Amino acid sequence: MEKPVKGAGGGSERDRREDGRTTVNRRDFLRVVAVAGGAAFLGTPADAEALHDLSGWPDRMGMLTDLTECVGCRSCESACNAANRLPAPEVPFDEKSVFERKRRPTASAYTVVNRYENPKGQGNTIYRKVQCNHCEEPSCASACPVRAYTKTPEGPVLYNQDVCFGCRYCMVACPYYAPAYDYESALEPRIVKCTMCHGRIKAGGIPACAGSCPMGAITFGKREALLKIARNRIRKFPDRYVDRIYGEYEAGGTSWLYLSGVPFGELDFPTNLPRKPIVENTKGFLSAVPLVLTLWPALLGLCYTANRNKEEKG
Amino acid sequence: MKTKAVSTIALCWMVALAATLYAGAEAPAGRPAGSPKGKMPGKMLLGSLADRHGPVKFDHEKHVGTAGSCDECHHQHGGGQAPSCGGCHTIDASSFRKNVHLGRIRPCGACHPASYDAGKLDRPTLSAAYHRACIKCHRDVGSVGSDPKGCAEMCHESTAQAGAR
Repeated sequence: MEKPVKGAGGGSERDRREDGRTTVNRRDFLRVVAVAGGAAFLGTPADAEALHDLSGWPDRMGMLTDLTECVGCRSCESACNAANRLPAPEVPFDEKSVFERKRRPTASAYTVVNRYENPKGQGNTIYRKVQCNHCEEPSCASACPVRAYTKTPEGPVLYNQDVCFGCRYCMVACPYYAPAYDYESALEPRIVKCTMCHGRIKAGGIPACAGSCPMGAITFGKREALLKIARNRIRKFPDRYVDRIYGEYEAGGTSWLYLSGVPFGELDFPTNLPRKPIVENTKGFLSAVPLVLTLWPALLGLCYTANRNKEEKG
Repeated sequence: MKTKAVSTIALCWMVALAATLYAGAEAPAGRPAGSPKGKMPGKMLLGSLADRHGPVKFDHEKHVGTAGSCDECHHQHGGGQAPSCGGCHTIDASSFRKNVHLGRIRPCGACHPASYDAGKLDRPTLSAAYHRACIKCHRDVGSVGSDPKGCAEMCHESTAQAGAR
């Protein structure tokens, strides 16, 4: 039974190395107890800590948004609306008043563009396109109790309405506030988010937003190729870009990558995300829960019964 | 045959060089320094991508007067640091005289793909190249670039835009 012990111990070692912490907090304690306890009790391999190995999907696709190129024309919003047959917007796509407040994707808009004053005080106004970032290790998928989310080999993270019962844990779990809830259909719960035009990709096409951008600010391609392109741009134009590709490592990395001329924190990108997938914090604990809840009571019940029988006899 | 072609090319080079020197001596007024000495386009209709929007009526002549330098738009000369003439100009024997004499600049579409090309991800598409070249200067002029309404205000025909929405 070497494997389970290694799994549980390996996790806590990794925590110490990355966070520089050596104290055992409550969560770590519970996790170790749950995993090790479950494994020791049941003798099943606890591979809970093992992450998806995405190396088998080297051709997974990604998107690269160059925020220095975007001029806020909202062509991507318009193209997304058409491609997904979404209802006509309340405010037309050529209306600039939408920039007066910061928007989030909704059930009728999978992507939105927000405007930011240039924090440098000069230079161009900055526009940021917001949509699902299609994480490499999606926390929405790990939070979902019914596995409504799937990370596809092509890259997109897809949602399946058929199994969803509307708990909205995914909305809480997403560090980018990407999934939106369709409050119009409460009886048939439905989460809505960008699909990265998975159908189009499978058919050999490209996502609608990337195809519609007049400035070429959104590039669709293999994630590995896009990372190289992004690094090249930073190297060639160090004055134009901050030295960071957002999405390369954030929360284990995302399919959607970003280049920016100003620090990402200024544009409301979460900058406090760990490099390791968020999934890793809970995976060990959560995977032990079903075992603990189903098999422990049975085993403990057996012990109790055996003891009671012994007591009665004695 | 081969020697004849070579000597023709050499002759053309000399003619072109002489023409350049001659033209350089009396640079026509209103032309940016170092601009090609041939006939430059006047009003153009940029319509190779006119499926979504109306074609753009582009007054090249007017821009020659205001841009200051060809490099502002025609980036391939790279501020005079182009690697070789052949990198930009078509110099096969049949069109050598005509092209070099006119200093013809390759059309944007010779390098920029008209639609998505997975093999040229870091090269802007033709549409993106046009938009970047125009918006570089026209950003925040009127509403172009900073305002979605800019599509039809200055460049594209509004009827076509309305049809695309």
